[in-house]
Amino acid sequence: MSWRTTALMREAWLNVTSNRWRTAGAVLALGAILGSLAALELRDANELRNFQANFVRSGGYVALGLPPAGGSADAARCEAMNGQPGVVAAGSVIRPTPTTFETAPGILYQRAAVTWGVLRVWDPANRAAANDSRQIVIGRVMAGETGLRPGSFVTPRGEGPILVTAIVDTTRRNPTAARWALDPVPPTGSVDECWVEFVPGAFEAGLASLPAQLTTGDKEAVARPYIRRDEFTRDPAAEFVARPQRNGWPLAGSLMAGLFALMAWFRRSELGLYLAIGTPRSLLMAMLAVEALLVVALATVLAVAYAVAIDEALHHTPRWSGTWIVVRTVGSAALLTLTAAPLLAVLVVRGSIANLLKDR
Amino acid sequence: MSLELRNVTHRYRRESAPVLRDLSFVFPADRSIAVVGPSGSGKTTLLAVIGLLTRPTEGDVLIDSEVVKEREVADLRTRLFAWVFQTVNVLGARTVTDNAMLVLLARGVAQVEAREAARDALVTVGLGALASRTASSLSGGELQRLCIASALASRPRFLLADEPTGQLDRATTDRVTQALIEGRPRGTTLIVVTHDPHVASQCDLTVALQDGQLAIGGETT
Ligand SMILES: Nc1ncnc2c1ncn2[C@@H]1O[C@H](COP(=O)(O)OP(=O)(O)OP(=O)(O)O)[C@@H](O)[C@H]1O
Ligand SMILES: [Mg+2]
Repeated sequence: MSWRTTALMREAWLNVTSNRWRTAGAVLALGAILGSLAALELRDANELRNFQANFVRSGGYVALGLPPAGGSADAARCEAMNGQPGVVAAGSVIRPTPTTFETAPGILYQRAAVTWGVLRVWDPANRAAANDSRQIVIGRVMAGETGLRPGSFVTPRGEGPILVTAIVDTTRRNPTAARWALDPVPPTGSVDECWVEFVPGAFEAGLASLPAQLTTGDKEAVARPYIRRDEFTRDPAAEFVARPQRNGWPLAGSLMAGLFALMAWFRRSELGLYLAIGTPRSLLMAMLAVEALLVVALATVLAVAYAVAIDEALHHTPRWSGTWIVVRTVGSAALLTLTAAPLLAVLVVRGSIANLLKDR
Repeated sequence: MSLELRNVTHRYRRESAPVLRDLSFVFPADRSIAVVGPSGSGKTTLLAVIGLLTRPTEGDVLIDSEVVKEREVADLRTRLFAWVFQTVNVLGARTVTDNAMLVLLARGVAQVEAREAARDALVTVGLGALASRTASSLSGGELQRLCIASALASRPRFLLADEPTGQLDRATTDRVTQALIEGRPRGTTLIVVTHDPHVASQCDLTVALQDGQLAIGGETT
C-alpha cells in the first residue's frame, strides 16, 4: 500500500504552487540558462548562415573557364550555359583592351567586350537588359572616379560618344572590373574568360564538366574555381568540435545540476519527512520528476521568449530555422534537466533518514 | 502487535562509544510507554531504531516476533508507524490539512477519506480553526499539535512521539497528552519520549534509558 498516482501528482503540483518564491526563482534561473544556451546556438547558426551568404556573394560558386594555351574556348557555348540546370548565370569576357577616354583625359581605363551574361555573374543585382552596340556599361569605381552616371556619354579616343546605360557594381565578385568600361557584345568567337555561377549543390560537377563544355579544338579548355576553396571553405565537423557550445553545454549542465541539487539540499528535512512516512525512494523520485516537469515547462516558455528576444535584437535569424534551433536546444536541455533533477535530489537525500529530519 | 528489540547496539561512528548497548526489550502491545532519560542518552536514537528509520549497527527489530528485513522497511513504515518528531517536521508551505493528510495519502487512502480523518484529528488537538492556514505560519506549540494530529489521523499500530509536549503550556499539554494516550485509536502502541513527569505518569509504563540500556520504572528527569 503506497501513494495513489493521482495523490502523488497532486502532491507534486501543490509543492510547486505553494512554494511560490522557490518555484519562481528556479524558473527564472533555469529559464536564463536554457535561454542563453539557445541564444548561443542561434548566434552560431547565424554566423554559419552569414558566412554562407558572404561566400555566395563573393563568388564562392563561380567557376572560371579559360582557353587552353594557344587554343580557344567558344563564347557561344559559354553563353549557352545560361538556363542549364544548376547554372545561375554564365557569360564571357571577350577582349579587354586599355583605352583612354576623352571624358577622363590622361587616365587609362580598361575597356572590355563582355556578354550580358557575365554582367549578371559579376553583379547579380544588375538587370540592365539592352543589347545595343551604341551603349556602354561602367564599373562602379570608374563611375565614381569619372563622375559618369547612366545617361552620360563617354567618348573613347578615336570614336564618337557612347551612351552610358548602367553602372554595375562588380566590387564583390570581380574588383578589377570595377574600373572597367564594359561594351556588351553578342557572344561570338573565342573568349578570354568564361564566368559561370552555379547553384551551391551543382558547383563541383559543373566545374568538372566546364572544360568539356567550352572546348572546340583539339586542346582542352581549363576551368578553376574563382575563389580558392581550400582557403575559404568551412569544415562543419571541425567547427562542431570547436564551437563555443562545447563549453556552454557543460557549463549550463553544471549550473542546472547545481541548481537542482541546491533546491533538494534546502528541502532535505521535507524530503526526509516523505521518506520517514514510508514513501519509497522510487516514488519520491517520481514526485520530484513531476515537480521538475512543471518547473521545466515554465522555464522553457521563458527561455524561448528570452532567446527570441536576443535574436530579434542581434541577428534576425529567419523565423523557421530560428524556431527550430531554439526548440531543439531548449528541448534537449529541458529533457536533460528532467531526468537529472530527481536523480540529484535522491543523491542528496541518500543516507540516514533520521539525520535528514534533524537538518533544518 | 508487539515490537521487540533484540541485542540492539548502535554507534554513530565505528570508534565512538555505543549510544545503545546490547539492548533487548519487548514493548507490550497496545500500551502507552513513556521513555525517559537524560539529554543525549539516546532516546531519539532509540525511537529511530524502533521506527525503522535507523538501522542499528548490530541486533534486530522484531514485529510480531518476525525479524524485520531491509526490503520491507519502507512498506512497514507506511503501514504501521506514525511519528511526532522532536524536530516537528512539516511541509512548511502547505496547509495544515495537507500536512495532517500526508501519512494517510502515503498509505494509499483516498483523498476524501484522508481529508475527513485529518479534520477530525485536527479538531481533537484543537486546531480545527486553523485547518486552512499554511503550516509555516503556526506557532511552535501549534506545530507540535499539528504533528500529533497528523500521527493520530493515520491510526498507526505504533505511534512514536519524541518530546511532543516540549513547547506546550500545562493546559495544552494535558489536552494533548489526553489526545495521545486516551484518544489514540484502539490497538495503537504509544511510545512517547518525554522529560515531563506529569506526562510519564499518565502512561501505562515508564522505562528509563541509561548507559545504552532500558530499565523499567526509572525516574523521570
Ligand atoms: N547523526 C549523529 N551522528 C553522531 N552522533 C550522533 C548523531 N545523532 C545523535 N548523536 C549522538 O548520540 C547521542 C544520543 O543522541 P540522541 O539524539 O538519541 O539523544 P536524546 O536522548 O534524544 O537527547 P535529547 O533529550 O537532548 O533529545 C548524543 O550524544 C548525540 O550527540
Ligand atoms: Mg532527542
